Amino acid sequence: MVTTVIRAERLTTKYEKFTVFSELSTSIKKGQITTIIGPNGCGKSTLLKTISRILKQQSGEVFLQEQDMKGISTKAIAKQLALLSQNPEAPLQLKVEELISYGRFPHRKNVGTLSSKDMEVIEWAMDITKTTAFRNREIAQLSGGQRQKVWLAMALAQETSILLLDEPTTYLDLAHQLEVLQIVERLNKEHHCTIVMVLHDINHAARFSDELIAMKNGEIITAGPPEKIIAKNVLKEVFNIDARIMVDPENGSPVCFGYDALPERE
Amino acid sequence: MHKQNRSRFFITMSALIGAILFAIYIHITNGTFDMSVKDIFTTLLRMNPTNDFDLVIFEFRLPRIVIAALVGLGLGIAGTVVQGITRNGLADPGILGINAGAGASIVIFMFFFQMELAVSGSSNWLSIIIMPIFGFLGGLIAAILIYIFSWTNGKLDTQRLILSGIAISTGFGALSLYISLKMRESDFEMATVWMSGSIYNANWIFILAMIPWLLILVPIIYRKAYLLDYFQLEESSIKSLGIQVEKEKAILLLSSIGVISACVSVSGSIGFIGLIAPHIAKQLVGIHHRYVLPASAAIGMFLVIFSDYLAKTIFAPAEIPVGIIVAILGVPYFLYLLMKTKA
Amino acid sequence: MKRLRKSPSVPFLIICASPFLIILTVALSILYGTKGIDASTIWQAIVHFDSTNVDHNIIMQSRLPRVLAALLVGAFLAISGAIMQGMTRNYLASPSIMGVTDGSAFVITICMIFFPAMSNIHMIMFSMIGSALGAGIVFGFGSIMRNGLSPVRLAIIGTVIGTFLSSLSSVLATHFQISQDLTFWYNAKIHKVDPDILLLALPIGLTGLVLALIISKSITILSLGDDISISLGQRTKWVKAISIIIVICLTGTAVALVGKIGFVGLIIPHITRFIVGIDYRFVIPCSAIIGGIFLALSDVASRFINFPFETPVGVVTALIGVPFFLYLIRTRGGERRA
Repeated sequence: MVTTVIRAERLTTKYEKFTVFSELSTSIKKGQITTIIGPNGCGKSTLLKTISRILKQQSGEVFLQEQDMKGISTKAIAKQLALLSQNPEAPLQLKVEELISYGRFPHRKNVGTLSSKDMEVIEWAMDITKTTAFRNREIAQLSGGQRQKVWLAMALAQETSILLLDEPTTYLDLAHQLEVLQIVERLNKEHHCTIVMVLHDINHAARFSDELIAMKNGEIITAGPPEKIIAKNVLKEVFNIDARIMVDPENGSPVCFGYDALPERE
Repeated sequence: MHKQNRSRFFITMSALIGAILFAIYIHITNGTFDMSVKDIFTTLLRMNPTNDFDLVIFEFRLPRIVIAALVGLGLGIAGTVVQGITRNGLADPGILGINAGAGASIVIFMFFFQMELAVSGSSNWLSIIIMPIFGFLGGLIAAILIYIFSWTNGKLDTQRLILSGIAISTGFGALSLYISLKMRESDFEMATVWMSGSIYNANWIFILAMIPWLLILVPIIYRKAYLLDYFQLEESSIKSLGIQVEKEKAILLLSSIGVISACVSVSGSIGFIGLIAPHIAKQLVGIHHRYVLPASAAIGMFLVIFSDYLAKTIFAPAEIPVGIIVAILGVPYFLYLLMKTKA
Repeated sequence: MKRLRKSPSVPFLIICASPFLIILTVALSILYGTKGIDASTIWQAIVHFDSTNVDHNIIMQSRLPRVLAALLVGAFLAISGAIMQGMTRNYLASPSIMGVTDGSAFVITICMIFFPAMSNIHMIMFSMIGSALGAGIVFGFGSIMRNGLSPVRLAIIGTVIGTFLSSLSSVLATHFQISQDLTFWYNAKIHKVDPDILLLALPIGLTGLVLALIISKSITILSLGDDISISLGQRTKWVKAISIIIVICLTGTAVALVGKIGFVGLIIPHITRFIVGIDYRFVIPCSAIIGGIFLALSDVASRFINFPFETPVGVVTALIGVPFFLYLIRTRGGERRA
């Protein structure tokens, strides 16, 4: 039986005076990879940030394991839920290992030294993300792909059962995009991590997700398994494209192999 | 790795303490009349006290050095915190207008309580003790204004931060000037000298007024210093780690404003120390704030003592406000930093 | 796309109304002061000047030069600000923020030390040299900056170099014991303006104004960006060089007349653009009118804020200017276009 880990009820979020979405409800199932797709400015990232308490909602509730998040301390939330934000920044002179150790913050009691448990988790995070090799380098010396893996490792060091990723593959080349997504997939399969992410590439979303949420103009158009969402009519409605879809004979996931922009509709 | 950092820190600190002792040495031995180290030691240790030496050392030079040291320490610490919180290497309490806010508020205080209180010493020690509180209020108002004007989309906009700082300090500067013009002539002169940052009218009561603030706030800041490391990440990442960003930033900022106010109320506005000291400290001990903070405090101490030595000797017997010396030393360094940092 | 200009009737209205507004301002400024003077006396003083009459003397020796100085200086600073903002496409550019006024004051300090008996014409010349020095240092630093020059960076460099120059001035002043003269001088001595300097300033200012009007069309094009300007066939370097010379002349003269007055050069062009649009053929003359009237009225206000004592007019302009500056930051802090 699949249970819900995050449930958003009638969320309204605003940037200054601009309402990104209002009265939005959705839920995230445990142990699955859920991907939010939609055109630029549709509110994907804002939704992700709201359910991870980075942005405060105007109204509505987010329930984490059926508990209202407003009632849980931010540190306690950080033990259950980690977020890799869209364009993370760190001082360039910081060493990789130190940055990853920042992920241990919610678990640390004293600020002085890392416990052996902390060290263990850091090693594990570096191992999974294959960043052990450059643990002693400074952030400045890393390529974009390496940096993204380091950031992922920092989120993993938080040791949470839920991982939120905001466009984890943007700015990466094809090989690194795939590498990051395969790490995510491995986390889900082997470590039973619940993953929620925002992706721009529909085919990546279809291939790696159990569940898709399609958004447009601050509303959830539809949600469901990739086979249902990657369909001509849905893509037409969400992205305003005329897509040709087939099934990848290798892994059975739907692939959109060509598309044309439809004329603007108002 | 950590061991390496630590030994670098201890070596740097020893060197800095050496530099401070050297600055104290030249400051205490030079002046209207020069003294030898032997004279100073015999006076300090009460071996062969003479009234002349007692007066010069205990009433003039020593309080001045102690104040220079405390002000430097405070500004170095506050500068580190402000730069750390704003993630902006060009932020400085002076540039942000916190000094000017504290200053204006103290000028208002001076105006209402007539300056004689602050000058004549012992009988009015109470008003001197109260001054930092007024300063704190002014600094707080400046900080709140800066927040209001540079807060957009749930975060502090770096560019606006510095600009509103410049605007706010100009505004408070004009206010101070306006009020000081309403003062009596003698008070006016005191106030202008004080506003441009000077410590040559130092006495022990000023020190007494400062110490409680530093004793309480500096340990608080030091305890929270490790958080400044985390604050170098971008906002979403910090929040996602479970740090109560707003609350922790508020504690750190308020503590720094308190430290700044204590400094401003005794020395007037001395700019650039809060800017320069943290940068030099980071060059010397790396980017970890547990190390940067003490190093920056020591550098601040050295800079203010040394600048004050220059201020009293360059054009002796005329005194130059130490703030002006610091500005002349600080501006080239600031420009150098501006050239180095990426847009 | 912004409209290049609003209806041209607005600027024409301002220009046509300006003589009346200016006369009104002059009248106000003469009427109100520590000593009230009634309107008939003014008329008398103009038609039948009586050198034994105290009121007549106040009018001709003090109030009239004073209001004229305020009008001129306000106009000079506003034109300088408008040109700088258009030329650098930097919405923060203005003589006081870019170190021009501090440079001017610095050189005047040096002159007061070494040539205490300076003639007026020399004073204006040195003041211009100082303006050039300040502007030169700030833009020089700006141009060797390898990471580009945002409006904010330029503003920061300008402020900091201004601090540096004024610190140096005050060290020198302390050493040569002319602090008091200097403090007096810096803080806007508009009420002590020298009629002789005023007469000298007039032709310089008018030349600057005419030049500014001549190149105003080129500045409009320049304000669209260097690339566009060059591709439209404009000799960008020439326009910039002339613009800089105008700024230096006008600001230098303004500082020589009344000392440092902040914010006029910053806020007036903004207000003007808000009213008349972004065509500099209208922005420049209208800035001059609005700037002059603004400073003259600030000067009137400065007599009453702390009655019967005079408040430096710089305090008044700062008290009006700072909130406006903050408003600018608030509303267009992120924007980079002028």
